[in-house]
Amino acid sequence: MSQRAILWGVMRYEYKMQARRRSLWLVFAVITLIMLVALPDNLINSWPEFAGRTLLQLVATVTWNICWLPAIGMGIFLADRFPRDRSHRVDELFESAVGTLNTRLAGKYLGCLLGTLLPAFLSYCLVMCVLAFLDHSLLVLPLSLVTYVTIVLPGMCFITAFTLACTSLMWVPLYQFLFIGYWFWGNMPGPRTGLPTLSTTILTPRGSFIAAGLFNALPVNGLPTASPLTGIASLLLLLLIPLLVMLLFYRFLRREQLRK
Amino acid sequence: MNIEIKDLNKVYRGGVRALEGVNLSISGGMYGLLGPNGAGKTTLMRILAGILRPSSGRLCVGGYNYETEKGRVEVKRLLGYLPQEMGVYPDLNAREFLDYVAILKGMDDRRARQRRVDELLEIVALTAVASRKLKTFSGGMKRRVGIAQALLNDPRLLIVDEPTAGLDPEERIRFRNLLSDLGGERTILLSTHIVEDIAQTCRHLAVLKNGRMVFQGTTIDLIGQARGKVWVVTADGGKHSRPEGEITIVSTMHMETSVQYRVVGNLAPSDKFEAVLTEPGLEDSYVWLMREQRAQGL
Repeated sequence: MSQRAILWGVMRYEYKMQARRRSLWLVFAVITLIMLVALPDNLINSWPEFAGRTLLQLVATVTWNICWLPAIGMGIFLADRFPRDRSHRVDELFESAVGTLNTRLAGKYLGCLLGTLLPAFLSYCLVMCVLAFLDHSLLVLPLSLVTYVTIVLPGMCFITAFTLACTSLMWVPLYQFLFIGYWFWGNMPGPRTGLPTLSTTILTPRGSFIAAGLFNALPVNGLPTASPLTGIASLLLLLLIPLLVMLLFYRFLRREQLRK
Repeated sequence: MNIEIKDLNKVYRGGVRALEGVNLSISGGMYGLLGPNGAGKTTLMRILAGILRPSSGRLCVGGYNYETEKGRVEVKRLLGYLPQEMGVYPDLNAREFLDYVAILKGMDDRRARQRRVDELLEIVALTAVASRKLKTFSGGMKRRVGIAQALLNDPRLLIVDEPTAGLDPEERIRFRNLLSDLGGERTILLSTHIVEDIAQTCRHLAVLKNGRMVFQGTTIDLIGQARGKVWVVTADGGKHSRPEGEITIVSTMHMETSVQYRVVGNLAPSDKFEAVLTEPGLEDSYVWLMREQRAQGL
């Protein structure tokens, strides 16, 4: 059996185990409700900026505005995925099998990402259906798919890689606490506290520069303005950095394995 | 399948010596590895399963050299491993968990995999609960899942580390019989500190103590070493009638009017009790061996 087939199998089961968690669905149901409540508010409060906008601008702006919240759910629910192999004592058994460490790690990354993304994406779809209804345009739906994949997905890949790597060194509740704290302080609109944050750089996993640069999203709720080139740079970085993080994470685990 | 171990050493970080100059040759069938807790059995098992790297020494399994990554991968293909502390994913059911492990073991044909999983669930008597989540399983049931996963790829080398720990007497007997049946056509390395498990299943064994191999041979050889050293002592039960000397009391049984001791060692003659020399069992011989090692300062 090729490592590719093992990768597929690991991914399938990691996805299954994550997507089955009742608490995951419960939390995302609450997040959906918050997003639905915030949606008309977003549109009404920002009305002057919305005048003369295109449909793509509207969809991109709404996508950027509402998808900062599900990212918290992603961070929380991904946090236990790596340490639990050790806490459930399955790692020794898996190490004795032919599936290599990089295959298992890649399968875990993809499976966890997709499993957590499922409720996040479904909740986004629901919100976008409401937007399509409010805007009387079915075109919102395909456009929202494009904006989700471009603005939100790279950030989710980024969060997944960092969460898996950080929780191999950090106590899970501590990571969850720090992640929530960082996400609120880094992304909540309002006066900046002067504390360091990625949210004003092209590395922001929230996809602000992608939304502004590639879709010319409307500058509401502190969305910066950016050129298309900056948008592309941000997109590429948000896709490349998780790869780099996972590679370094693999090398770290491999070293640990060899030192055992 | 032959296992050849030459001058194997394992030193953990912090300088803890787990194995010291271990030499072992195993040719096939069931082989027991006995030793007290902390003797290095699990370290040896983990090295053989490809989980740990030895600090030095040579290890060859079925002609494959452990020094190369390729060699280790080839051994893993032929290997079934039941770790001492095997956990499960509590949110999967038994069938799913076995399927997952089968995938990791490289079993690519989905139908063949499912057939094998069903077959093993039947062997370990878990078919009726195969769709129940593993978090609802008892310790013994989880152990059976562990046994099933070790057999998934029909391994030529089966390494089982303390397999009967946590099993009730009936389950232990069932498992020992299963191992004996399997041992006919493959190499099984059974590591345990329960002498009875070895006595009932293995003809050959090795004994580890403090990371060193202190005995290697047949169970008959080991028993032979304690011949003339095992006594059944009957005393009146009074405070001063307890047998003394360079001995280890293996068992104590209170009878109606007396107490019967089974002792190993050089018994000092006394008029306070009656001592009869008896044929040693494997447990007596193991106790004798450990005493001898202590006497030699090991």
